Amino acid sequence: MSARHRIYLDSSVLVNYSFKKGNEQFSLLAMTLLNKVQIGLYEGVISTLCLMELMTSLRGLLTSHGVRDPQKWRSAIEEAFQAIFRVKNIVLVEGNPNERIGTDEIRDLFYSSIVWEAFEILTKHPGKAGLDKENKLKHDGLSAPDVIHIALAKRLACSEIASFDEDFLESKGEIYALILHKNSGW
Amino acid sequence: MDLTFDPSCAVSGISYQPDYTLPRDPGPLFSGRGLKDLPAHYDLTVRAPFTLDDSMTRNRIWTALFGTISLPSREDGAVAKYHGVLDKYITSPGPSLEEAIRTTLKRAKGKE
Repeated sequence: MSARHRIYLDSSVLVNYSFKKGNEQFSLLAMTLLNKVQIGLYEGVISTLCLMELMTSLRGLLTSHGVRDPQKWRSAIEEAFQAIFRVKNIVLVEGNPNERIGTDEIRDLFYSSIVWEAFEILTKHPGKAGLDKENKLKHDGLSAPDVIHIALAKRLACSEIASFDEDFLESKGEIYALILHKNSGW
Repeated sequence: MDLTFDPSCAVSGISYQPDYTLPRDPGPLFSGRGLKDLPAHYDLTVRAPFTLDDSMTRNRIWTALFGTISLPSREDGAVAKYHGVLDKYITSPGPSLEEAIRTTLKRAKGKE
């Protein structure tokens, strides 16, 4: 049995890793974490949901910078995926019971089971009202995809979820949120 | 609000009555720093450890997206080699890339 942490990687880690030109600090932190995965300090878990977020983010990012050609989006997505697929100690999962070896608790990974746990988490953690940059009221808290990530991470035995999204701090008591730019010593 | 799972909603013919009042402990891999934030009732001895096998999923995702392009294999030093691999796509002026990343991630997660 491995004693290393199994860590769920949020799409914000992958997007920031893919661009050095964006937030340089975040990009460096993302690379540092992936390096730790590569050398085996962590086992990194990336879900299909996370990859879908990566794809939609890349299409949005490229479009916002004048790249309108879907073929270019596809090339960028292919390069981003190539990079991820090549990293050692990363496992790509979709929450399929067949992915968990050595347990008969397959029902834990039924879609209905995961979604129900996500629903419970969303109910338990309502978030709070905050202000955006323009001083307008906005809701700060977990989104539907966030809670599905958390539920899936728990079912896959991840001890923490790594992200740059501080909304995951709302999930205290569910899973440890490793906010890369806030936490030290990881 | 009672959020107890209603087994009558389960798929017919499948025995499926998880007790959601019990902690779902993922096993001994759940160790280290994360423990201090877990509810006290987590019993870390309940469930056997398991390993993850992504061979099927890895193939499936790749084939669905890129068809016949051969599946990349894991390689040493990949993280440093491919860091910032998409920078070359950002050639025209646009909004701050940092801000664009923040915004598009929020949008992808349904927050904006």
